[in-house]
Amino acid sequence: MTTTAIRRLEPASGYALLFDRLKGGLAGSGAARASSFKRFAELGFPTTRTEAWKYTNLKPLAEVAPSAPVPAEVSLADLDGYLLTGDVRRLVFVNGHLAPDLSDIARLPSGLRVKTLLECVEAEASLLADVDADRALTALNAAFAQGGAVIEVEAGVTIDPVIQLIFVDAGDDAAMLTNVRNRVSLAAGARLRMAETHLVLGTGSITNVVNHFNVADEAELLSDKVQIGTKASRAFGQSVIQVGKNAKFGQTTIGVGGALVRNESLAKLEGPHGDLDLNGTYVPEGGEQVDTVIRVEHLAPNCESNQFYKGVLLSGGHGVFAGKIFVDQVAQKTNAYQQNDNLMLSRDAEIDTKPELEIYADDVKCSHGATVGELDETGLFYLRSRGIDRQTAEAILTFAFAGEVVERLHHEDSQHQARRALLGRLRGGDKLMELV
Amino acid sequence: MATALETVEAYTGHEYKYGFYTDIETDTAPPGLDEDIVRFISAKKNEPEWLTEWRLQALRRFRDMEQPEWQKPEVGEIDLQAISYYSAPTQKEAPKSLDDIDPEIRRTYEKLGIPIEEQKMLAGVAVDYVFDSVSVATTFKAKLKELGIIFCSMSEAVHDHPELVRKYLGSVVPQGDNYFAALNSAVFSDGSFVYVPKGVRCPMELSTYFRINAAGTGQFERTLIIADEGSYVSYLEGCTAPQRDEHQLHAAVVELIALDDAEIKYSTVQNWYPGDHEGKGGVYNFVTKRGLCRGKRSKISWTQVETGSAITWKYPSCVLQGDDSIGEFYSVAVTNHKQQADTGTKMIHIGKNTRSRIVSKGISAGRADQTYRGLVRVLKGAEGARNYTQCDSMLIGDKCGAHTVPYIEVKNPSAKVEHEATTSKISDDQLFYCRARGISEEDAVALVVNGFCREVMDELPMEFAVEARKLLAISLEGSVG
Repeated sequence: MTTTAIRRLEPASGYALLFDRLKGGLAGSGAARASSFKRFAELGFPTTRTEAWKYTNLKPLAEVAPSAPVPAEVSLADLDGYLLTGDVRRLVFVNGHLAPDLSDIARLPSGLRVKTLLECVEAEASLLADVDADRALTALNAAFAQGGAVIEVEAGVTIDPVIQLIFVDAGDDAAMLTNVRNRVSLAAGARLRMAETHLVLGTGSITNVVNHFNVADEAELLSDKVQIGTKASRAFGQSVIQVGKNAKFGQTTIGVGGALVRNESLAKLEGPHGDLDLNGTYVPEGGEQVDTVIRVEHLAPNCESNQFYKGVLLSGGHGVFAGKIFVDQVAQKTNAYQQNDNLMLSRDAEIDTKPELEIYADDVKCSHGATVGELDETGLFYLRSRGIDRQTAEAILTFAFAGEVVERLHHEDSQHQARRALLGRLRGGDKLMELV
Repeated sequence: MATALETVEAYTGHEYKYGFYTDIETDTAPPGLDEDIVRFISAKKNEPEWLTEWRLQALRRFRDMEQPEWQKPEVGEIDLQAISYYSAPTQKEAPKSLDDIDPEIRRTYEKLGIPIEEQKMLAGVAVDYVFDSVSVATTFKAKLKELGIIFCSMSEAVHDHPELVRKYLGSVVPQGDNYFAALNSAVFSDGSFVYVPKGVRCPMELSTYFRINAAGTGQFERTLIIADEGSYVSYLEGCTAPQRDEHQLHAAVVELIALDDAEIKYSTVQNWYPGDHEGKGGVYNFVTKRGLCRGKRSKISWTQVETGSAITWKYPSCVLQGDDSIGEFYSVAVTNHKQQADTGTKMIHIGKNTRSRIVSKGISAGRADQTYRGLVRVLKGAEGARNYTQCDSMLIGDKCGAHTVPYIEVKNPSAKVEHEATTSKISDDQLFYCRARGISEEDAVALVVNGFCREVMDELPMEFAVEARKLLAISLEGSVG
């Protein structure tokens, strides 16, 4: 067998059939779409022999006959509990299509532009450019993506309202493939807070998201991300993050549910004194797998980056964490930290963690840590001796463990959503619901 | 400090001290690799048929494999057909005592600074010298024999103890384990064989020196150590190799087996020729080392000090199969100039209450690149498994690299696994402190580095510890200022 054969999974014919069927209706340059699809077909899906996909089997995905997203009826009531309150503007996409009735982008403050990909892609082909040429799913996204937001903030403007992007996949077809692409650009000195909410309301779907965040010098972008999946849903996401001089990017991701969820981030600290903060928690159970793949590149001196990820592995859950810090030779005085702690609560759970450092500069402080363990018996004993039953005691300790990540969500409503979703997962968690 | 200073002076001029060449009549196979060569090696060594067949089987497995490319150092395609797979110092008859040994070879070891006579007396070290793949002298054999310990070359073991060799050869590192292990299985020349019987505590450190000598001959050592129930053995391996202009391939396989309550301690000081400042001519050190803790409460401990080789690529590993077994890995790797190292360990927890500890210290200077790559895997049945991993990297200069790639795979909730890693530069404050007290910059670096590595150095047997400390200082010569 040749090296390429064992590193490439041929996509089933359904992908080409779907593209042939949809290509006439795709916005933007037909030639560019076709070349992206060709690229996807050439790359094929990666196999477990590809280092980045060592623990993730895409064979079921490669063999699927994907179906086109269809319109679905979703009301605001369906989104109850996930809408941020207060000063918020929001865009809601249902099965990849903008749902104007559910969205609210009236009264945008000056200096802020919020549009959809569909509106912009004709004029700006670069929106679908390959942000990562070697990633098959990114090429697939470039071929199909119609939905998504294009957000721009002018230089020096601080935006008060929070921008919430809600992506809903609804329906009973778990082979439905939705491709979404967002671009958020902050010009120098701009400030924005946003929230990304991914909801699967029906049986399931295949969601393939590509995000491009561009944070120019002195700008600051904070983002909350909540992902709620189902037993059959599959979600793939890639975020490419560029951080300029003295700029800051922060993102906290909370995910609950999904047969296979994979969040990949590629963050580049391009100017001196950049600051990057990535946090997340995952709680897979019952055959679910959650991958977190991060590459942080320090390309300029004096930058700081933090990765803080906590995993709770419930019965049948499989977690994968692969975080990498890359420090270029010019990136002296880098401070880079990475922590991945995992709580294993079941005999049939699995965690694979790979915190990686690749360092080419000498005057740096880089450290990483990874731990795997079960709940602390003394902590449990303490709670039990105070009359709390074992199940509740376990829920309290587990909730506290993941809580450290939850409190890094910047919006209070995001925190509530996250806490509710977490407690909904834990045995005995319902008793603690009133606390959140 | 005086000794380090003296040593540094003794080794000044950055030429590799051990780069000399001994001209002895060799019996060398023509370059190339095919079934005939494998048969030639086997026949030359007068091996039984099962072993010839075993080698051929390995060759067939090897042919289906490709040179791996996942590692960090860029190796490039190695032309295995250009290598001669057999080279033996010609001997009229087997030596009976040290006096019978080719004086050329004797002189080689004297140049190394370790005369055999001295070695013989030194703290009871028995040395199984390996010179160009064939063991030419074995000392202390009689003494070990009294205790029932077998310590001989692999070729001898094949003839004298075939039942042991047949039972254990390839049981830890199977023929098709990886590309270079498969190659080794097909063409291995010689190596050491140790068997420690039940309940015996080996009273002395067993040691072997490997050298690559004749031009163009790769060395394919095969070492097999078996510690039977309740026994203990400490094995030392030290390497130096003469200077060469083309890359030399060293693809050894080391297999350790510890039965119930047995303990094996395996220490390595590796100082193969690293190449010149441009990295030209150094040794490729691609070794598969693995220990199997087969018995309950068994223990295998790897300690390594890696200062040499153009490229070092090895992962001494422990398979913790027996309940309550223990695996340890202590490593210091120093890379300078254009050296590259990709090293680490694997700890596979299979049995209950198995414990492992990994301490890795990497020092990178000049334009060198260094990677710690490690795997800690806890299988479902490994109730109560415990692992602690610490890997620290130190960078000296702004053109070198230090990388850490730990894999942690856990399938049992009662496992406790911790991993910590740090990367930092050599402390300016500490250097300044030393300089303010009149210590030269180079000595100060040696002092700080030795402190940084102390945790690992303390694990080395005394004889090695002295040599290893000197080596650290020498390896880092010219890295500052």
